[in-house]
Amino acid sequence: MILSSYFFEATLRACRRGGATAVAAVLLSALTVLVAGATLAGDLALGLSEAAWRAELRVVAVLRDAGLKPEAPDGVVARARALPGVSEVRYVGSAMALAELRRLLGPRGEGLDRLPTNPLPPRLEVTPASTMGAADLQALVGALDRLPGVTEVQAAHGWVEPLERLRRGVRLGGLGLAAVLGLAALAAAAGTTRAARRASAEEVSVLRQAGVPGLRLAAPPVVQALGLAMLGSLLGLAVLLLASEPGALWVGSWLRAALGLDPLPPLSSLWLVALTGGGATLGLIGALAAGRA
Amino acid sequence: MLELRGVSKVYGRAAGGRVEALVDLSFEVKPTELAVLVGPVGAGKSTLLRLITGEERPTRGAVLVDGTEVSALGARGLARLRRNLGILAQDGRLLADRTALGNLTVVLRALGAGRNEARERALAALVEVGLGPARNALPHELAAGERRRVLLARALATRPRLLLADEPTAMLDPGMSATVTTLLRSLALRGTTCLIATQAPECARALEGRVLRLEAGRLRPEGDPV
Repeated sequence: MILSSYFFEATLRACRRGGATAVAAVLLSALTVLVAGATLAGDLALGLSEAAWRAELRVVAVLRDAGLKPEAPDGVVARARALPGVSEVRYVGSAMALAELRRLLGPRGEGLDRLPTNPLPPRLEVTPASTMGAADLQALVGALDRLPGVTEVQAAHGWVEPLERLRRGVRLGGLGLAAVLGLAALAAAAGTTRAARRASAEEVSVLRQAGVPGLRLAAPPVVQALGLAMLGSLLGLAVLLLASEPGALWVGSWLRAALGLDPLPPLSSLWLVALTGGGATLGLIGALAAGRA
Repeated sequence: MLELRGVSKVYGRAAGGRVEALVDLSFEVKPTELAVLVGPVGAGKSTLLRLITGEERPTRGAVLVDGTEVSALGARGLARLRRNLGILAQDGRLLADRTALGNLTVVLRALGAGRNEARERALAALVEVGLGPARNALPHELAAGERRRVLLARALATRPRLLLADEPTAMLDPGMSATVTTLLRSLALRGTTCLIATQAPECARALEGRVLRLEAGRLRPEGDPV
């Protein structure tokens, strides 16, 4: 009989008795979820961008022509394949390199057919593992450069390190701010629980003497804090979802124009549930931290 | 229904601060009986009632309600016990932000009664103590005697099996005092066991119950004149 209509009425009374701290608990929970959700969405978008860029990332090791037979490059390919962080190695012989260039240039590349000799050296196109960081990529470039027969290594990986820094910054900044707001929401939830308990102390004393079970007396202030935090979380989530559509359009069009990337992805329903649950948990922890009256 | 076996209550430890509030009390109140605990201020009446409700524990001896030792009960057991008790404490308080009716319905609702049932039972209890017309008054709008009657109505509204009332006629005028004593007698006749504590001998006589005389924490032999 804990979930009686009395229980709901007592919980609503506890919300009213929470006063300004109850409002603060709602707003701070909303802000926490909003910041955490925006951080998550931003990180997800950067992650997808990074994955798309990484899919195109190749480290090219230019090989010496002399001493290597085009049809037998197995030694250097095997050595490159054995290097840490290498996902795939493709050998491109001089003739294939010229043919690819000819195909790429189309009619504008007719001059290539009239060259007396093929000026293009053979090369290895190395696909690094998608999980490699900037330092590991630099190490791979160095290792490829040291392979016998390699004259030069070309890799457009300069963007990896700034992007890593940006993602770290977004995560640290966003989650740090969310943590601070979360602590404030927790304190507000504890405050509203204490305020509700203070305001109902006399009523609780009367009801306890009348034999009302302790759980029925103790639960409403806890449930009100949980409910307020849940309400705040849903509010924060609603703002996030409402803002994310135009935000995705704006940021997405900017990303497409600047970098040729797709629009921002929406958060999955699992994340939405996790964010709401996380916000509500702040209220529960705050209420429990307030201790029993 | 209620039994005390060699109950003593001592406050303080040091030789100078040691107060024996109750000394070796033993008596029984049978179901539907009306017992009146008479004694002057400081005799230990309120202490005894607090031992029965479980608000305090005896230093020695046992208080049994329906065969269950009160001091052995945990929080749940105590709540279960109190649901069968109607308690009119000497320092009983009303909730200032609720009407007379609201002070009763909040208890009934918390105990599980529906909205309508709580209202009906609360109203009936207020009518029984003569406060039907004042049901919508806030405590500060009531006289001291009326507030006392609201407290009595609150104790009765839960339909207790054992009513413990501490000075139920205090602050009441003679007419209302007679009404309350009649009400208490009729409660016993209707099957509620009552233990009434009073310092007023005339109240004890009017209640026409078995008299237990308490003086300085000790029971005087039954049969002594009030």
